[in-house]
Amino acid sequence: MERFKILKKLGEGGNSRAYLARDKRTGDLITIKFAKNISATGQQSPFVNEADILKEFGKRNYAELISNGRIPRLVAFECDHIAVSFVSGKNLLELLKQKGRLKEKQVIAIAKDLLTIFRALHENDTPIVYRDLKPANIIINCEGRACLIDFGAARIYQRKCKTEDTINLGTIGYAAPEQYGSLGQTDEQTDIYCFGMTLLSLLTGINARDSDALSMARSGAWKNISPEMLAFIERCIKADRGKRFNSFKEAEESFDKVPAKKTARKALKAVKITALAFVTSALVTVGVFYEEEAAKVISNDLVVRVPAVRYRISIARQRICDFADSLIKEEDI
Amino acid sequence: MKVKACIYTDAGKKRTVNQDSSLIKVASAGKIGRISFIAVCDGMGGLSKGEVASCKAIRTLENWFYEELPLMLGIDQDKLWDAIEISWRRLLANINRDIRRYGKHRGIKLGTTLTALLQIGRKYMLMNIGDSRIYFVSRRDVQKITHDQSLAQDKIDRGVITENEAAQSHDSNVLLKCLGQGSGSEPQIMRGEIRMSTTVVACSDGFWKTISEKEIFRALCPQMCVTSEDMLDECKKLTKTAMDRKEQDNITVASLCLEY
Repeated sequence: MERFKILKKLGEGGNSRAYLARDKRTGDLITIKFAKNISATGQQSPFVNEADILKEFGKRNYAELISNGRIPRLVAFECDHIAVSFVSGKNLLELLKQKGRLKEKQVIAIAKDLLTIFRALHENDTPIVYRDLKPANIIINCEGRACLIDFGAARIYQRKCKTEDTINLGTIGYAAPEQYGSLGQTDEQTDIYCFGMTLLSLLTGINARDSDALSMARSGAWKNISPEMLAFIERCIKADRGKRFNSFKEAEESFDKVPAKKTARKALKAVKITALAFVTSALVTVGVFYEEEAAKVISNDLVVRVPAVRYRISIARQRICDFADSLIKEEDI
Repeated sequence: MKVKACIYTDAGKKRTVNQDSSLIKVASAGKIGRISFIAVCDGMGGLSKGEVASCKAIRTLENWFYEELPLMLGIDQDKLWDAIEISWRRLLANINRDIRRYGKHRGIKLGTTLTALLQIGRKYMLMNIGDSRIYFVSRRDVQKITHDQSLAQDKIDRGVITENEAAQSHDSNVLLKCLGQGSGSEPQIMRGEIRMSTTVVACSDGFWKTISEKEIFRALCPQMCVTSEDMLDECKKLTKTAMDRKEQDNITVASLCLEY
């Protein structure tokens, strides 16, 4: 512990407290997490899983992501604490609380960053499933890029292993149905669900636990979300795994088409409006040219044709009345 | 507590008239909390005008929910359920009488099954006549809580045949009891407690005969029910699966997700 100097408290989670500290050896800022209730010696450290995942990063080709701070780097790991690189910037949850909701443009930028990170994590023989994606776990760094923190719930996915997850992790609202257990083990598609939920809550500012607000948002009640974006999110957050995107690669391909589709829809709308304006103006112009004749026709109609039509209607009414009377008489007889 | 609900029904391929009727009611009652009521009635296939019988039953239940239940809510908790049970028995007798009278005037035979569940707070009570079913789907497993009043179930109870044999025999279509036939049919009335988040699935025989319990669990366990729209999607999918398996009967499924 002499290696680190604690500077301030960052926050408190379910089973750990996080502090900002300085690494005396390198001079870098780090995040250090202490386990809250670890008393008995020999008890397994709650950070073993996270440390294993972060160690795994070193073996894989994630140097670029780590050096940019997009995913954390393991600094030190002991039984009761774990130290990882610190990302300075703004937490998305705080940002969301401040602004209420984010603009679609901003969200698209965040989504693109996340897609890059997740593709790197997943596209491997043994993908790393993050399982706890939510605004609180995303930091926007000083360059405006989205960074992932806290791999506490992550897991290395074994394709052949068919056993279910032993523990249920994740955050209610953001967690996919299979994370509550009994529906098979979590896989890449779990992250896709969390990803969709995160985007939706960023765009609307709703609490993902509130199912009524969620239904409303999904029905398109929020006008700041384009229908194309909503369709993309809807495909991500299908409760049934079979209906979601198969992989982040597929999701990214579909996501890249969103702006183009949006532009196409807007262009079509503009064309429609222009055409309508053109037709209206043409009608008005023609009307102005033939004003006198039109006035004549209309006055003729009023004087001659309208009374003629009225006369015919009155005759028809009389006939119907007669017919009805005859029917009633027949019945009486 | 949160409640999400949906109903999906389909006349099926063979019939033009859907003889099933169903209802879900959710109300809030001050300190007692959320009340929900779910019911499915399956008009008898062999008899004409089955839809009249099932509709009559559902309408009567609906009126009961609006007009009689609110008056009973003032009663003490321990006596409340007894009062409801008495009123349910009277209700069933009324429905039975009305349907019989309708049939007598027109010289036809008609009838309906009825399965209904009322939940107040954590307690529930259900009644069942005939072979419509109610399943409780929790986060871990699925449980059939109604007891079919059919010839097949009776044989299973007596140990004559096994459940697998029953699924293949024709006896499963023969009902021992239903509303609108006979003078008084003894309903199954049961009370219990809901301990955790549960999806209550009420369905007609067209549904449960072709869909396994495991499939019901996978589609409708509480974790899959994120919103009511999701539930409806899953119900639609299950119904379609049932029809793909050559189910000819009307199919109705009403589900109610209670999250504690």
